[in-house]
Amino acid sequence: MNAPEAPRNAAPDGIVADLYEVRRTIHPRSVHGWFANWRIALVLITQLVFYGLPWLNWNGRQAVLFELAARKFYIFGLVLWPQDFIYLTALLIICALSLFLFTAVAGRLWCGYACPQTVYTEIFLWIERVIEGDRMQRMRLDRAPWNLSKSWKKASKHGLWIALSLWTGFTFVGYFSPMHDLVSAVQGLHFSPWESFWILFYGFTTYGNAGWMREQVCLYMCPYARFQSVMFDPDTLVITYDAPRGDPRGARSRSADRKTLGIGDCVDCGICVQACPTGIDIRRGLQYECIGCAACIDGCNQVMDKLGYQRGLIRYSTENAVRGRVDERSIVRRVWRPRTLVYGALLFAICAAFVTALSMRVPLKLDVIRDRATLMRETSDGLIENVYQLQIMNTGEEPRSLLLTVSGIPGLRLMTPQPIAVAPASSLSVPVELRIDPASVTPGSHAVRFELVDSAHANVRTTAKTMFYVR
Amino acid sequence: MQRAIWVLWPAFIVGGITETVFFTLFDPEDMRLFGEAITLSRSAVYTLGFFVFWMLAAIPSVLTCFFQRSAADINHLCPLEPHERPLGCPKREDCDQCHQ
Repeated sequence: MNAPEAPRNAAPDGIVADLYEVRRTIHPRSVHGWFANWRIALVLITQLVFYGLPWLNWNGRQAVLFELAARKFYIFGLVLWPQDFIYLTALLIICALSLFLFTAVAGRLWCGYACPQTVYTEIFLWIERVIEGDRMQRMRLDRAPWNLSKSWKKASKHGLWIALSLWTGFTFVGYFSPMHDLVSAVQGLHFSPWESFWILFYGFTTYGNAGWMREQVCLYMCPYARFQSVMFDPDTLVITYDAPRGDPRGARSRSADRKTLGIGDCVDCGICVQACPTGIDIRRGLQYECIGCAACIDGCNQVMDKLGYQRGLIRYSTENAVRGRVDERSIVRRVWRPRTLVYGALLFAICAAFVTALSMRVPLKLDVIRDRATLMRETSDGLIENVYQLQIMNTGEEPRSLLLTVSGIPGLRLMTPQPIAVAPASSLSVPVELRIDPASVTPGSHAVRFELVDSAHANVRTTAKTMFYVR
Repeated sequence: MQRAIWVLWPAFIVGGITETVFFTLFDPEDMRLFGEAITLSRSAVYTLGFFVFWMLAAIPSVLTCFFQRSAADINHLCPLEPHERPLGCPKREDCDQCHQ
């Protein structure tokens, strides 16, 4: 069999077909402007909250602490137990619906301004810029042979990145393990192996994602980037290039008249591409790679200002407006459309239900477990006895003195000393015996109900149902 | 490398979700391993549990990659010499883009 000679790495039709693109490092050019300022503001706000929150105290404890080891979540005045999982679920649904609503209205606001991947990439890029300079200097440095100066710059950049990553990992673990204990562990250099592991793990993830992976996380790993477009419609605000105004593109001198040259407003300087953190050309239209950071808008506006042209060759607009189907001024009015109204109504309903449920939440929980060993027994004085284990949880932040009563069968006697004292934010297991005279009750199973009332606050009460067996 | 990411990254997401749901419903201190109470701390069980869930979630992806192999990837005995095989055959000697 004589197969024709084909070059190595060639597909049958002779076109080189790589299975995946080899990544080129993207060095985004720094831009200034309105959106860049917003991004800086968002970086500062989110990081002030993230790094600062674990240090805040509330009622003598950490204000926000998801204490996994104790299985209790503290969020300021709120103490959530695993039984309150429904509230966290509701919170997640609220977050998801808000994301849907924002995306339907103005595209990937989350990605461009608030996503940790964007925010940390922004911080890491800032460190890189301070040490290595802006885009051109960084590209030159990368191409340059290794020497003392390059090694020093690279080492100090990575050193700062690693320090910041470790601090981020430490802060992250501080949300799940009390900060106070972590600090004393650092001071005494006696870390628990599990906490150290998670600090290093999260630190490494931060360093890897913000230092090395960057836009690849958005392009290849992020599930949201893959499905965000289903929330888009022709009235969604997206970053767009005004092709009718910009094309045909071409370079010109500042004094030249573009009308006589027959060219549009785009000077084809490529700054929008250089500024893009994911390395795309926005002039090719909306792409899933666009994270909506608006760096290209700021970059283009800088050029338009220099040329004395009107700003907004690249701007936030909608598909309908760009295609001339609707007036630019009606964009705001068209925010109110069925899609956003449905997302908004759902969001409002769940928020209302969440707030109502939270405000009506009784800071007391009661679980009744029947004694598994014996269904019933007869006491020495001829009474029928059933034994239960009561799990009482005080989810409030004050100690409680509780009164227990039982109802369901007349003549049922409760053999437990009262009141029952429960410490703040803790649970208590209490064995409880119920006795009855067999003459006053028919054989079989009877429904009974325990009721627990705070002796100081009559509205803090809860009930639990169980069965009482008589032979 | 890319295959490793294909397997590990989706498994990481699923492992994280499973971990959250599982340990919300079950307290490590109430669990028994072969009838014996677990002496490890909760943090330890959570950490180890996460890796168990992560690895379990990786298995389906590994199997998907495994079953995706073509007949040519699996067949060992081919009567043709490597350089004689048709263009595009993964076992062709000068065809290295077929192996990922």
